[in-house]
Amino acid sequence: MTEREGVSVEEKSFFQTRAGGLTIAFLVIMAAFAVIMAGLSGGNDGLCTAGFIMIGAAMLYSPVKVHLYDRLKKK
Amino acid sequence: MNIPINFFMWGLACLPIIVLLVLMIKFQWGATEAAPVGLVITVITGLVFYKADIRLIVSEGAKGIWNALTILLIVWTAVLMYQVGSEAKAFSVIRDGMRKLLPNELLLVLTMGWIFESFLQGITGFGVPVAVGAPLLIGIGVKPMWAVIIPLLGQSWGNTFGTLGAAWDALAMSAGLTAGSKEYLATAFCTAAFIWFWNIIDGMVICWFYGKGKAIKKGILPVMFISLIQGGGELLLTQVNTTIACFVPACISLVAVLLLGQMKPYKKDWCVEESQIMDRTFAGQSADDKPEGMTLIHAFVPYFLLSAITLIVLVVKPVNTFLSQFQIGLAFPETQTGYGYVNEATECFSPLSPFTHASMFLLLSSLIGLVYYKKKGWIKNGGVKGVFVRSVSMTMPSGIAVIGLVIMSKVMAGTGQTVVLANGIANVLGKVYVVLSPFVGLLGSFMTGSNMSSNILFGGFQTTTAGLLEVDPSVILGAQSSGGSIGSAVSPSNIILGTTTADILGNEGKVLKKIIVITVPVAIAIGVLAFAAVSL
Repeated sequence: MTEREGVSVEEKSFFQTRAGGLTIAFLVIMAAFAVIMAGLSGGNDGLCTAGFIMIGAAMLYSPVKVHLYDRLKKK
Repeated sequence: MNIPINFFMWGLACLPIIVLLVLMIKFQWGATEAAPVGLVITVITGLVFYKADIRLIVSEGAKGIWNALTILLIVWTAVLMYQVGSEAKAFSVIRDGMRKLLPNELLLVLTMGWIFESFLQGITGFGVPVAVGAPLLIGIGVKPMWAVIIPLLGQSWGNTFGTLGAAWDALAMSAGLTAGSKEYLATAFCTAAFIWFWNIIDGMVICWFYGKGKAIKKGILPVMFISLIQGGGELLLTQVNTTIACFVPACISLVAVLLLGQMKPYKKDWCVEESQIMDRTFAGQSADDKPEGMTLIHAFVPYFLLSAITLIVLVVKPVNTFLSQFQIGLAFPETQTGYGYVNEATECFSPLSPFTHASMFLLLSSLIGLVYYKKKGWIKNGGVKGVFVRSVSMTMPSGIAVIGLVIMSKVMAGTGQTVVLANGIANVLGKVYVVLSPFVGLLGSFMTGSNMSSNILFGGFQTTTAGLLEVDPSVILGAQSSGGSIGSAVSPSNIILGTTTADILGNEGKVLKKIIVITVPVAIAIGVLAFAAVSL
């Protein structure tokens, strides 16, 4: 792996790599999780909906990037 | 519940699974890309056709994230453990040491891919054998894709009675079996008998992968011997103590294979040169690179620690009782679909016991291993930082896929899609359903990534169906759990554990394609055996 990848990760700036992008998506999901739990315990449907949208966006980051954005960019 | 069970609703419940399979197998999408698509379909189906509201969906979604986090903790710590070994160059020592100990390459592959995984499954489970086993196999020169496939198969037989019988206890609980009762013992017997069949197939398939007919010929006796210990031992022990029914035979088989390696037919160098699974150009870390003074025992230190810590915490009752009292769980409100399908409120959903969780054992073993290697001078300055940087960059991509898959299974269960899926099959097929009963268990594990969850999800349903069909529930429940055990080999969330630590993330479809052609026919074969048993 890994040494090669490890070095490239360190050189390239982590958040510019695919792993970095997915890390951001993961952090968004964790934030959405907190928002949803707050919404569920307080009976606040607005917060639940906001969390739902955040999860949707973060989950779709990878398929949209790989199978839409990158392909359109190539064309 | 009054969800209409018709072909349309059943087809909708099937759709996310079919899409997931097609994207991964046919179009070779990685699970990180395919899982969100399956999830979107599940959510739309749930909202539009199963009359769920947004509150139910987010509640099930949050439960899914919570469950996924407990899986991800294992992935992260297993990768950390791998990185510690890699930084200290321990894998080159393991490769050379194990080759000397087991000069027969087939026996070496069986040991590192099946027997060691069985041992790990016996105590830890939750995907740890796959995450830990894949890099070990790469270390002995197995190609990365095969290094994922072999542990997936090797660990799967131990899923029901492994992890100290967690999945079995879940089956007994959801089917209402009282420990020690006649039905309990009969069900345990049927389950273990079906699993033994799968255990033999496991060993033979690994031989076939390694060297086709030549390897089968060479490996048939060791496989039968090991399977007699593992499968036969488990069968006997289920009638005595289900908690140790997998762990004890797995430990004995580990000792037995090392003794077998010293016997005349197996102590000479032997390999199939043209083996499809071995990378003959692989040198790994060169001999010059080997850390000075590191022996095989030193190289295995983190794994010895893992075994020792796990055993002490899980088997020593006072220690386990003390550490189990610390639990973290979340409260969820009651939710209901428009069809009256209710998800009851819970004060403490799926509590996580951090000090008895497999990730804690992995974390402790990794950190002690790291300090030990550093003290011995096998990890150079700056190496510790590298271990953590590489661990993070290696594990993050798998997080999204695991979360997506677990949320998908939660939303399917919470909206009633899972029940419709299983009921639809049973209603249409009548008594022939018995043939497909292991397939339901397999489906449960495929969706949830866990034999235990599959048993919780379908244990009650299988008992009810057995009653409706007037067949022996012990046989049906045995088929359910053995199917669930087999299903752990094809579960995308388990596959991701392996592809992550083998550094081939995105190849889940290729791995699935190779394994599914074995698991589905075996599940159906077990179904035929079950049908024969209930027809007698």
